[in-house]
Amino acid sequence: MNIEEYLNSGIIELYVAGMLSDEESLEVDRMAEKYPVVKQEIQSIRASLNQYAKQTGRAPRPELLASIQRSFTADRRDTNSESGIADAIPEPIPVRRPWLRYAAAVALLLSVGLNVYLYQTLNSSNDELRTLISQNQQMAEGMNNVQNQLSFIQSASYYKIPLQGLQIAPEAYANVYLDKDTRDVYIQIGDLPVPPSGHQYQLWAEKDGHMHNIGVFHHNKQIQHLAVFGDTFESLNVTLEVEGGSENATVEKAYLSGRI
Amino acid sequence: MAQPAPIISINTEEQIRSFLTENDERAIPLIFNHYGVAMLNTINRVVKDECLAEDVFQKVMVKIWERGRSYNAAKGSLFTWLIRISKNAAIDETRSKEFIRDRKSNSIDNFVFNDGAIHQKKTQERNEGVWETVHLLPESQRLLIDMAYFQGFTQKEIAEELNMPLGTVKTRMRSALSLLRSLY
Repeated sequence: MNIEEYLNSGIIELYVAGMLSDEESLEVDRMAEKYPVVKQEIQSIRASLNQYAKQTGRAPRPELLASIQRSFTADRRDTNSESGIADAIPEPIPVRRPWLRYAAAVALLLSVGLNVYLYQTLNSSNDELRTLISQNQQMAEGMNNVQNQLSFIQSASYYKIPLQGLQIAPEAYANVYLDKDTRDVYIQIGDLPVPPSGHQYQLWAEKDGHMHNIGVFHHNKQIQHLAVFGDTFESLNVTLEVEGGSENATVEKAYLSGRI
Repeated sequence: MAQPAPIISINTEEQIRSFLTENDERAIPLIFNHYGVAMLNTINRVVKDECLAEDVFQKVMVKIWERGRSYNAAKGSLFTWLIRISKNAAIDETRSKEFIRDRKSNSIDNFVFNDGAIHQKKTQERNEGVWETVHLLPESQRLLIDMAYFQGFTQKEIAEELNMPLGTVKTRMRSALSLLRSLY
Protein backbone atom coordinates (compact mmCIF):
# COMPACT_ATOMS: atom_id res chain seq x y z
CA MET A 1 0.00 0.00 0.00
CA ASN A 2 1.51 3.37 -0.92
CA ILE A 3 1.15 6.36 1.34
CA GLU A 4 -1.67 7.92 -0.67
CA GLU A 5 -3.71 4.71 -0.39
CA TYR A 6 -2.93 4.57 3.31
CA LEU A 7 -4.20 8.12 3.83
CA ASN A 8 -7.36 7.32 1.88
CA SER A 9 -8.00 4.01 3.63
CA GLY A 10 -10.04 5.63 6.42
CA ILE A 11 -7.81 4.20 9.14
CA ILE A 12 -6.61 7.60 10.35
CA GLU A 13 -10.19 8.76 10.91
CA LEU A 14 -10.79 5.68 13.09
CA TYR A 15 -7.50 6.26 14.90
CA VAL A 16 -8.42 9.83 15.84
CA ALA A 17 -11.82 8.60 17.07
CA GLY A 18 -10.01 6.09 19.32
CA MET A 19 -11.80 3.26 17.54
CA LEU A 20 -8.77 1.12 16.72
CA SER A 21 -7.33 -1.70 18.79
CA ASP A 22 -4.04 -1.11 20.62
CA GLU A 23 -2.05 -2.93 17.95
CA GLU A 24 -3.70 -1.03 15.11
CA SER A 25 -3.13 2.29 16.88
CA LEU A 26 0.53 1.49 17.42
CA GLU A 27 0.81 0.69 13.72
CA VAL A 28 -0.59 4.15 12.89
CA ASP A 29 1.93 5.63 15.36
CA ARG A 30 4.74 3.88 13.50
CA MET A 31 3.48 5.20 10.17
CA ALA A 32 3.20 8.71 11.64
CA GLU A 33 6.80 8.49 12.84
CA LYS A 34 7.95 7.34 9.43
CA TYR A 35 5.83 9.64 7.24
CA PRO A 36 5.33 13.26 8.33
CA VAL A 37 2.34 13.50 6.01
CA VAL A 38 0.52 10.92 8.17
CA LYS A 39 1.32 12.89 11.32
CA GLN A 40 0.09 16.04 9.63
CA GLU A 41 -3.15 14.34 8.58
CA ILE A 42 -3.76 13.19 12.18
CA GLN A 43 -3.13 16.68 13.56
CA SER A 44 -5.32 18.31 10.96
CA ILE A 45 -8.27 15.94 11.55
CA ARG A 46 -7.96 16.41 15.30
CA ALA A 47 -7.79 20.19 14.94
CA SER A 48 -10.97 20.41 12.86
CA LEU A 49 -12.82 18.02 15.17
CA ASN A 50 -11.79 20.02 18.22
CA GLN A 51 -12.86 23.21 16.49
CA TYR A 52 -16.21 21.68 15.53
CA ALA A 53 -16.66 20.37 19.08
CA LYS A 54 -15.95 23.78 20.54
CA GLN A 55 -18.33 25.61 18.23
CA THR A 56 -21.20 23.19 18.63
CA GLY A 57 -21.01 22.59 22.37
CA ARG A 58 -19.82 19.00 21.94
CA ALA A 59 -16.46 19.48 23.67
CA PRO A 60 -16.09 18.20 27.26
CA ARG A 61 -17.69 20.69 29.68
CA PRO A 62 -15.24 23.27 31.07
CA GLU A 63 -16.70 22.56 34.54
CA LEU A 64 -15.27 19.09 34.22
CA LEU A 65 -11.76 20.50 33.85
CA ALA A 66 -12.33 22.73 36.88
CA SER A 67 -13.49 19.73 38.89
CA ILE A 68 -10.44 17.69 37.82
CA GLN A 69 -8.13 20.52 38.83
CA ARG A 70 -9.89 20.80 42.20
CA SER A 71 -9.42 17.09 42.84
CA PHE A 72 -5.71 17.52 42.21
CA THR A 73 -5.42 20.27 44.75
CA ALA A 74 -7.37 18.17 47.28
CA ASP A 75 -5.10 15.18 46.61
CA ARG A 76 -2.04 17.26 47.26
CA ARG A 77 -3.46 18.53 50.54
CA ASP A 78 -4.18 14.95 51.65
CA THR A 79 -0.69 13.80 50.78
CA ASN A 80 0.83 16.67 52.72
CA SER A 81 -1.11 15.95 55.90
CA GLU A 82 -0.53 12.21 55.59
CA SER A 83 3.19 12.62 55.35
CA GLY A 84 3.07 14.45 58.69
CA ILE A 85 4.37 17.76 57.39
CA ALA A 86 1.76 19.57 59.51
CA ASP A 87 2.90 17.77 62.68
CA ALA A 88 6.52 18.51 62.04
CA ILE A 89 6.06 22.29 62.18
CA PRO A 90 7.68 23.51 65.43
CA GLU A 91 5.76 25.53 68.00
CA PRO A 92 5.98 29.24 67.23
CA ILE A 93 8.47 31.21 69.32
CA PRO A 94 6.70 33.83 71.47
CA VAL A 95 7.05 37.27 69.92
CA ARG A 96 7.67 40.20 72.21
CA ARG A 97 6.15 42.79 69.89
CA PRO A 98 2.62 41.54 69.00
CA TRP A 99 2.10 44.27 66.35
CA LEU A 100 4.90 42.69 64.37
CA ARG A 101 2.93 39.50 64.21
CA TYR A 102 -0.12 41.37 62.80
CA ALA A 103 2.00 43.31 60.35
CA ALA A 104 3.57 40.04 59.19
CA ALA A 105 0.12 38.48 58.80
CA VAL A 106 -1.11 41.43 56.76
CA ALA A 107 2.02 41.36 54.61
CA LEU A 108 1.59 37.64 54.08
CA LEU A 109 -2.06 38.06 53.10
CA LEU A 110 -1.15 40.83 50.66
CA SER A 111 1.59 38.69 49.21
CA VAL A 112 -0.76 35.70 48.84
CA GLY A 113 -3.32 37.94 47.17
CA LEU A 114 -0.71 39.34 44.82
CA ASN A 115 0.52 35.86 43.97
CA VAL A 116 -3.00 34.65 43.20
CA TYR A 117 -3.54 37.71 41.03
CA LEU A 118 -0.25 37.23 39.20
CA TYR A 119 -0.92 33.53 38.73
CA GLN A 120 -4.34 34.26 37.23
CA THR A 121 -2.86 36.91 34.94
CA LEU A 122 -0.22 34.43 33.83
CA ASN A 123 -2.85 31.79 33.16
CA SER A 124 -5.00 34.14 31.16
CA SER A 125 -1.95 35.35 29.19
CA ASN A 126 -1.09 31.75 28.44
CA ASP A 127 -4.64 31.13 27.25
CA GLU A 128 -4.52 34.24 25.07
CA LEU A 129 -1.19 33.14 23.67
CA ARG A 130 -2.59 29.73 22.80
CA THR A 131 -5.60 31.33 21.11
CA LEU A 132 -3.31 33.65 19.15
CA ILE A 133 -1.10 30.76 18.07
CA SER A 134 -4.12 28.82 16.89
CA GLN A 135 -5.54 31.87 15.05
CA ASN A 136 -2.16 32.46 13.47
CA GLN A 137 -2.10 28.85 12.32
CA GLN A 138 -5.55 29.19 10.77
CA MET A 139 -4.56 32.41 9.03
CA ALA A 140 -1.42 30.80 7.65
CA GLU A 141 -3.50 27.95 6.24
CA GLY A 142 -6.02 30.41 4.81
CA MET A 143 -3.26 32.44 3.19
CA ASN A 144 -1.68 29.37 1.78
CA ASN A 145 -5.00 28.47 0.14
CA VAL A 146 -5.36 31.95 -1.28
CA GLN A 147 -1.81 31.86 -2.65
CA ASN A 148 -2.45 28.53 -4.31
CA GLN A 149 -5.60 29.86 -5.88
CA LEU A 150 -3.87 33.02 -6.99
CA SER A 151 -1.04 31.21 -8.71
CA PHE A 152 -3.58 28.95 -10.34
CA ILE A 153 -5.78 31.79 -11.53
CA GLN A 154 -2.90 33.86 -12.83
CA SER A 155 -1.40 31.02 -14.79
CA ALA A 156 -1.47 31.72 -18.53
CA SER A 157 -2.09 28.14 -19.52
CA TYR A 158 -5.78 28.24 -18.58
CA TYR A 159 -8.87 29.62 -20.25
CA LYS A 160 -11.10 31.27 -17.72
CA ILE A 161 -14.82 30.96 -18.30
CA PRO A 162 -16.88 33.03 -15.85
CA LEU A 163 -20.28 31.54 -15.02
CA GLN A 164 -23.08 33.98 -14.15
CA GLY A 165 -26.14 33.32 -11.98
CA LEU A 166 -29.38 32.68 -13.87
CA GLN A 167 -32.94 33.61 -12.89
CA ILE A 168 -33.09 31.01 -10.08
CA ALA A 169 -30.12 32.59 -8.24
CA PRO A 170 -29.02 35.86 -9.89
CA GLU A 171 -26.26 36.53 -7.33
CA ALA A 172 -24.60 33.15 -7.78
CA TYR A 173 -21.29 32.92 -9.65
CA ALA A 174 -18.35 30.62 -10.28
CA ASN A 175 -15.40 30.33 -12.66
CA VAL A 176 -14.36 27.40 -14.76
CA TYR A 177 -10.70 26.99 -15.73
CA LEU A 178 -9.80 24.90 -18.72
CA ASP A 179 -6.21 23.75 -19.12
CA LYS A 180 -5.20 24.65 -22.70
CA ASP A 181 -2.91 21.65 -23.06
CA THR A 182 -4.36 18.86 -20.98
CA ARG A 183 -8.01 19.97 -21.22
CA ASP A 184 -8.42 19.46 -17.47
CA VAL A 185 -11.52 21.23 -16.17
CA TYR A 186 -11.49 22.94 -12.77
CA ILE A 187 -14.29 24.83 -11.09
CA GLN A 188 -13.76 27.64 -8.63
CA ILE A 189 -16.86 28.33 -6.53
CA GLY A 190 -17.67 31.98 -5.95
CA ASP A 191 -21.12 31.99 -4.44
CA LEU A 192 -23.66 29.21 -4.70
CA PRO A 193 -26.73 28.56 -2.54
CA VAL A 194 -26.48 25.52 -0.22
CA PRO A 195 -28.21 22.72 -2.15
CA PRO A 196 -31.13 20.93 -0.49
CA SER A 197 -30.29 17.64 1.19
CA GLY A 198 -29.70 14.81 -1.29
CA HIS A 199 -28.84 17.21 -4.12
CA GLN A 200 -25.64 18.34 -5.74
CA TYR A 201 -24.53 20.72 -8.48
CA GLN A 202 -23.40 19.34 -11.82
CA LEU A 203 -21.45 21.01 -14.63
CA TRP A 204 -22.45 20.49 -18.27
CA ALA A 205 -20.95 21.50 -21.61
CA GLU A 206 -23.52 22.49 -24.21
CA LYS A 207 -22.99 21.87 -27.92
CA ASP A 208 -25.62 21.95 -30.68
CA GLY A 209 -28.38 22.01 -28.10
CA HIS A 210 -27.05 18.92 -26.27
CA MET A 211 -25.75 18.91 -22.72
CA HIS A 212 -22.65 16.77 -22.03
CA ASN A 213 -21.81 15.83 -18.46
CA ILE A 214 -18.51 17.15 -17.06
CA GLY A 215 -19.02 16.23 -13.43
CA VAL A 216 -20.64 16.89 -10.07
CA PHE A 217 -18.98 19.04 -7.42
CA HIS A 218 -19.26 20.19 -3.80
CA HIS A 219 -20.78 23.64 -3.37
CA ASN A 220 -18.40 24.51 -0.53
CA LYS A 221 -14.99 23.47 -1.80
CA GLN A 222 -13.22 26.35 -3.38
CA ILE A 223 -11.37 24.74 -6.26
CA GLN A 224 -12.13 21.30 -7.60
CA HIS A 225 -10.82 19.29 -10.48
CA LEU A 226 -13.77 17.81 -12.35
CA ALA A 227 -12.65 15.95 -15.46
CA VAL A 228 -10.66 16.02 -18.65
CA PHE A 229 -12.97 17.30 -21.39
CA GLY A 230 -11.51 17.23 -24.87
CA ASP A 231 -14.53 18.27 -26.96
CA THR A 232 -15.39 21.76 -28.06
CA PHE A 233 -18.51 23.40 -26.65
CA GLU A 234 -20.60 26.55 -26.92
CA SER A 235 -21.44 27.16 -23.29
CA LEU A 236 -20.98 25.76 -19.79
CA ASN A 237 -23.92 25.33 -17.44
CA VAL A 238 -24.49 24.32 -13.85
CA THR A 239 -27.71 22.61 -12.80
CA LEU A 240 -28.97 21.22 -9.52
CA GLU A 241 -29.26 17.44 -9.65
CA VAL A 242 -29.75 14.54 -7.28
CA GLU A 243 -26.66 13.55 -5.29
CA GLY A 244 -24.18 11.72 -7.49
CA GLY A 245 -25.40 13.51 -10.63
CA SER A 246 -27.89 12.82 -13.44
CA GLU A 247 -27.53 11.47 -16.94
CA ASN A 248 -29.57 14.31 -18.43
CA ALA A 249 -29.44 17.90 -17.31
CA THR A 250 -32.49 19.28 -15.49
CA VAL A 251 -32.51 22.56 -17.41
CA GLU A 252 -35.34 24.06 -15.35
CA LYS A 253 -32.90 23.96 -12.45
CA ALA A 254 -30.03 25.73 -14.20
CA TYR A 255 -28.17 27.98 -11.75
CA LEU A 256 -25.17 29.21 -13.74
CA SER A 257 -24.16 29.66 -17.33
CA GLY A 258 -21.15 31.06 -19.22
CA ARG A 259 -19.54 31.17 -22.68
CA ILE A 260 -15.91 30.91 -23.61
CA MET B 1 -0.71 23.82 -9.08
CA ALA B 2 1.80 24.56 -6.33
CA GLN B 3 2.02 22.07 -3.48
CA PRO B 4 0.49 23.44 -0.26
CA ALA B 5 3.04 24.42 2.36
CA PRO B 6 3.10 22.15 5.43
CA ILE B 7 0.79 23.20 8.23
CA ILE B 8 2.72 25.01 10.94
CA SER B 9 2.65 22.66 13.86
CA ILE B 10 3.25 23.49 17.46
CA ASN B 11 4.16 20.23 19.05
CA THR B 12 1.56 19.97 21.76
CA GLU B 13 2.35 16.32 22.37
CA GLU B 14 5.96 17.13 23.18
CA GLN B 15 4.89 19.95 25.49
CA ILE B 16 2.48 17.68 27.40
CA ARG B 17 5.14 15.01 27.68
CA SER B 18 7.63 17.37 29.23
CA PHE B 19 5.02 18.77 31.65
CA LEU B 20 4.15 15.22 32.73
CA THR B 21 7.78 14.34 33.30
CA GLU B 22 8.33 17.48 35.34
CA ASN B 23 5.13 16.95 37.37
CA ASP B 24 3.86 20.24 36.03
CA GLU B 25 0.09 20.59 36.36
CA ARG B 26 -0.14 22.60 33.18
CA ALA B 27 -0.25 19.20 31.45
CA ILE B 28 -3.85 18.75 32.65
CA PRO B 29 -5.66 21.54 30.73
CA LEU B 30 -3.54 20.79 27.67
CA ILE B 31 -4.55 17.12 27.67
CA PHE B 32 -8.14 18.11 28.38
CA ASN B 33 -8.35 20.59 25.51
CA HIS B 34 -6.37 18.61 23.00
CA TYR B 35 -7.37 14.99 23.58
CA GLY B 36 -10.42 15.34 25.86
CA VAL B 37 -12.98 14.83 23.09
CA ALA B 38 -11.47 11.51 21.99
CA MET B 39 -10.82 10.28 25.55
CA LEU B 40 -14.31 11.05 26.81
CA ASN B 41 -15.85 9.50 23.73
CA THR B 42 -13.72 6.37 24.09
CA ILE B 43 -14.95 5.97 27.67
CA ASN B 44 -18.54 6.63 26.68
CA ARG B 45 -18.25 4.02 23.94
CA VAL B 46 -17.72 1.44 26.69
CA VAL B 47 -19.89 2.66 29.56
CA LYS B 48 -22.72 4.13 27.42
CA ASP B 49 -23.64 6.76 29.95
CA GLU B 50 -22.53 10.36 29.62
CA CYS B 51 -22.53 11.17 33.35
CA LEU B 52 -20.65 8.03 34.27
CA ALA B 53 -18.22 8.66 31.40
CA GLU B 54 -17.38 12.03 32.94
CA ASP B 55 -16.70 10.38 36.32
CA VAL B 56 -14.42 7.83 34.72
CA PHE B 57 -12.69 10.56 32.69
CA GLN B 58 -11.93 12.37 35.92
CA LYS B 59 -10.37 9.23 37.41
CA VAL B 60 -8.41 8.70 34.20
CA MET B 61 -6.90 12.17 34.44
CA VAL B 62 -5.69 11.40 37.96
CA LYS B 63 -4.21 8.11 36.75
CA ILE B 64 -2.43 9.87 33.91
CA TRP B 65 -1.04 12.36 36.35
CA GLU B 66 0.24 9.59 38.62
CA ARG B 67 1.71 7.53 35.80
CA GLY B 68 2.92 10.45 33.67
CA ARG B 69 6.57 9.69 34.32
CA SER B 70 6.19 6.08 33.26
CA TYR B 71 5.01 6.99 29.76
CA ASN B 72 7.52 5.73 27.20
CA ALA B 73 7.48 7.50 23.84
CA ALA B 74 9.36 4.62 22.22
CA LYS B 75 6.33 2.39 22.77
CA GLY B 76 3.84 4.58 20.91
CA SER B 77 2.35 8.06 20.82
CA LEU B 78 1.00 9.89 23.82
CA PHE B 79 -2.45 9.77 22.23
CA THR B 80 -2.39 5.96 21.97
CA TRP B 81 -1.28 5.79 25.60
CA LEU B 82 -4.08 8.12 26.74
CA ILE B 83 -6.70 6.21 24.77
CA ARG B 84 -5.45 2.89 26.19
CA ILE B 85 -5.73 4.16 29.78
CA SER B 86 -9.18 5.59 29.06
CA LYS B 87 -10.41 2.38 27.48
CA ASN B 88 -9.04 0.19 30.27
CA ALA B 89 -10.49 2.42 32.99
CA ALA B 90 -13.88 2.29 31.27
CA ILE B 91 -13.74 -1.50 31.01
CA ASP B 92 -12.77 -1.72 34.71
CA GLU B 93 -15.77 0.44 35.49
CA THR B 94 -18.15 -1.91 33.69
CA ARG B 95 -16.82 -4.74 35.86
CA SER B 96 -17.51 -2.90 39.09
CA LYS B 97 -20.37 -4.08 41.27
CA GLU B 98 -22.13 -0.70 41.13
CA PHE B 99 -22.09 -0.69 37.35
CA ILE B 100 -23.53 -4.18 37.07
CA ARG B 101 -26.21 -3.35 39.62
CA ASP B 102 -27.19 -0.10 37.88
CA ARG B 103 -27.25 -1.74 34.47
CA LYS B 104 -29.73 -4.31 35.70
CA SER B 105 -32.15 -1.61 36.77
CA ASN B 106 -31.76 0.42 33.55
CA SER B 107 -33.29 -0.51 30.23
CA ILE B 108 -31.17 -0.74 27.10
CA ASP B 109 -32.93 2.33 25.68
CA ASN B 110 -31.14 4.52 28.17
CA PHE B 111 -27.81 3.51 26.71
CA VAL B 112 -28.34 5.45 23.55
CA PHE B 113 -27.96 9.19 23.36
CA ASN B 114 -31.47 10.60 23.54
CA ASP B 115 -33.05 12.96 21.03
CA GLY B 116 -33.72 15.54 23.70
CA ALA B 117 -30.04 16.08 24.28
CA ILE B 118 -29.37 16.43 20.57
CA HIS B 119 -32.21 18.90 20.28
CA GLN B 120 -30.84 20.89 23.18
CA LYS B 121 -27.43 21.07 21.55
CA LYS B 122 -28.94 22.26 18.29
CA THR B 123 -30.72 25.06 20.11
CA GLN B 124 -27.42 26.00 21.71
CA GLU B 125 -25.75 26.15 18.31
CA ARG B 126 -28.40 28.51 17.00
CA ASN B 127 -28.04 30.72 20.01
CA GLU B 128 -24.32 30.94 19.62
CA GLY B 129 -24.64 31.98 15.99
CA VAL B 130 -22.53 29.15 14.65
CA TRP B 131 -25.44 27.19 13.33
CA GLU B 132 -24.90 28.51 9.82
CA THR B 133 -21.41 27.00 9.48
CA VAL B 134 -22.47 23.71 10.98
CA HIS B 135 -25.48 23.65 8.73
CA LEU B 136 -23.20 23.49 5.68
CA LEU B 137 -22.52 19.91 6.67
CA PRO B 138 -25.26 17.68 5.31
CA GLU B 139 -27.41 16.22 8.09
CA SER B 140 -26.33 12.65 7.29
CA GLN B 141 -22.64 13.54 7.61
CA ARG B 142 -23.16 15.43 10.86
CA LEU B 143 -25.00 12.48 12.29
CA LEU B 144 -22.11 10.18 11.43
CA ILE B 145 -19.51 12.55 12.92
CA ASP B 146 -21.57 12.98 16.07
CA MET B 147 -22.09 9.26 16.51
CA ALA B 148 -18.45 8.34 15.87
CA TYR B 149 -16.67 11.18 17.63
CA PHE B 150 -19.02 12.46 20.32
CA GLN B 151 -21.80 10.05 21.21
CA GLY B 152 -19.79 6.94 21.99
CA PHE B 153 -21.02 4.67 19.22
CA THR B 154 -18.80 1.81 18.06
CA GLN B 155 -18.33 1.16 14.35
CA LYS B 156 -20.61 -1.84 14.60
CA GLU B 157 -23.33 0.17 16.33
CA ILE B 158 -23.12 2.89 13.68
CA ALA B 159 -23.43 0.26 10.95
CA GLU B 160 -26.51 -1.20 12.64
CA GLU B 161 -28.09 2.14 13.49
CA LEU B 162 -27.61 3.57 9.98
CA ASN B 163 -28.21 0.25 8.31
CA MET B 164 -24.98 0.18 6.30
CA PRO B 165 -22.14 -2.34 5.93
CA LEU B 166 -19.21 -2.01 8.33
CA GLY B 167 -16.81 -1.18 5.47
CA THR B 168 -19.04 1.67 4.35
CA VAL B 169 -18.88 3.22 7.85
CA LYS B 170 -15.13 3.62 7.38
CA THR B 171 -15.39 5.27 3.95
CA ARG B 172 -18.33 7.46 4.99
CA MET B 173 -16.42 8.62 8.06
CA ARG B 174 -13.59 9.64 5.78
CA SER B 175 -15.78 11.66 3.42
CA ALA B 176 -17.69 13.27 6.32
CA LEU B 177 -14.40 14.28 7.89
CA SER B 178 -12.96 15.69 4.68
CA LEU B 179 -16.06 17.87 4.32
CA LEU B 180 -15.77 18.94 7.95
CA ARG B 181 -12.15 19.90 7.35
CA SER B 182 -13.09 22.08 4.41
CA LEU B 183 -15.38 23.99 6.80
CA TYR B 184 -13.13 24.28 9.87
